[in-house]
Amino acid sequence: MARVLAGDRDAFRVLVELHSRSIFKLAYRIMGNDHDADDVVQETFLRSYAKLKDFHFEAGLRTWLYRIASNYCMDLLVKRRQEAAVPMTAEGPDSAPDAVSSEPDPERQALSNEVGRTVDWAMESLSARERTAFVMRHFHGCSIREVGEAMKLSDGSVKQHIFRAVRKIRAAIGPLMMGTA
Amino acid sequence: MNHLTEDQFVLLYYGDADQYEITGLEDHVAICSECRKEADRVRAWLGGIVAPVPEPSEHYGSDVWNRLVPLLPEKSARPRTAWFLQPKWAMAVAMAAAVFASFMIGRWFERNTEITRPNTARQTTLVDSPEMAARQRVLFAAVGDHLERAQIVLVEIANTNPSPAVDISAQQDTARGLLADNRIYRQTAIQLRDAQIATLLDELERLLVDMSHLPSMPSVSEFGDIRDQIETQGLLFKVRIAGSELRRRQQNTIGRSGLPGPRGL
Repeated sequence: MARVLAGDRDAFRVLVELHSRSIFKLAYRIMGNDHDADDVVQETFLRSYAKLKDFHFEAGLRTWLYRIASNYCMDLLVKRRQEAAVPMTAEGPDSAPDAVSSEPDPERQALSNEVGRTVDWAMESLSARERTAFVMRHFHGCSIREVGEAMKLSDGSVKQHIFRAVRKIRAAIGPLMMGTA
Repeated sequence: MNHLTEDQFVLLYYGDADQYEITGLEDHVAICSECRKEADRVRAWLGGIVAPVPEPSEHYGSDVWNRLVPLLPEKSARPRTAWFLQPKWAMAVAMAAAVFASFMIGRWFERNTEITRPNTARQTTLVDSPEMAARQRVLFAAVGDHLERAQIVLVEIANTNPSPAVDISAQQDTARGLLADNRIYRQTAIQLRDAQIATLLDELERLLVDMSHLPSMPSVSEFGDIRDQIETQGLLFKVRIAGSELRRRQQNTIGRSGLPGPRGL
């Protein structure tokens, strides 16, 4: 790490090769497609190379990279949703449970039934922060503290984002999954 | 105690409360059949939420690097002279490096094919170039993070009581993700001739493979086998100890000069 911090490209290459796959998976789950996920991976390492001076070992290396990746994901999500003319901020319509009140269209519902436990479309109902916090905790096994460090949120705030995410997903796909649970 | 709220069931599933609170929730669930039933339902429901991700190829990291190279600035944003390159320290560091190199060369001759004996009590790392030392430090950091994630899965499995309705699909999804990384880290550890990390990752890999191959709702016997595998090998303990040791060593190494100190997980 000393050589990475000192700008050694070979050492940085090792870091890229060790972490790019897990960052891709994180980004894919947040963004929902591999094109954006690839973009996030590349941007994460470009930013991390430029921000090496900000890495002080209080957080783990993975958490630090996740922080950069998740922040970029949230920016992208907001941008995508703005482009799609859906009002959304980084915070999103967090307190709006009606965000999931609309039923999925028949095609998506059929797809969801077909693949059983796929939750892609339910994830789209989450705000950028809810989605990021939930993905990191549920799919990537990050602790609440790690999620908080990555998102620069308190533990309590992270929990609230996760609770809201779970409520929305449950409202959206709960009935579909009850038969399988 | 009142019945648990929806959020408390979620807390219970993720284990994301302080120990006092978790114990209180678990105690209530143990005596309240209604909450126990709901806790099982929430566990099955949350455990069933999976989001398949296309598995990047083994060359993905290299591909990313090749895309990055033309975009990286020639020098990093952190140009600085390492303290060990400053004249007043240079002689002392050179002496220390010479002593260290002599020590390592002596050990190399003494050790010969130590890497083939993973249970050796002696340390087996060989750092014979600055590049290898740098790779080793990055490996420490990466494996430390990796073991933390593995520990969460092991704890979840170890804390789940075997029953016919246990759904481990979420843990399997995590295990599959860990498996790909584990292989890369183990290969890197072998290349760096770090037998202890390689051995631990080898044990962990076998468990992750076994977990991945189970049905999402394994039989009591199958689930018991996985738990036994964790317990009999002391895998959870080893992962905990190794993870904290690696993190400590990583920080100590950075805090000093980058020269790795005596090893011993």
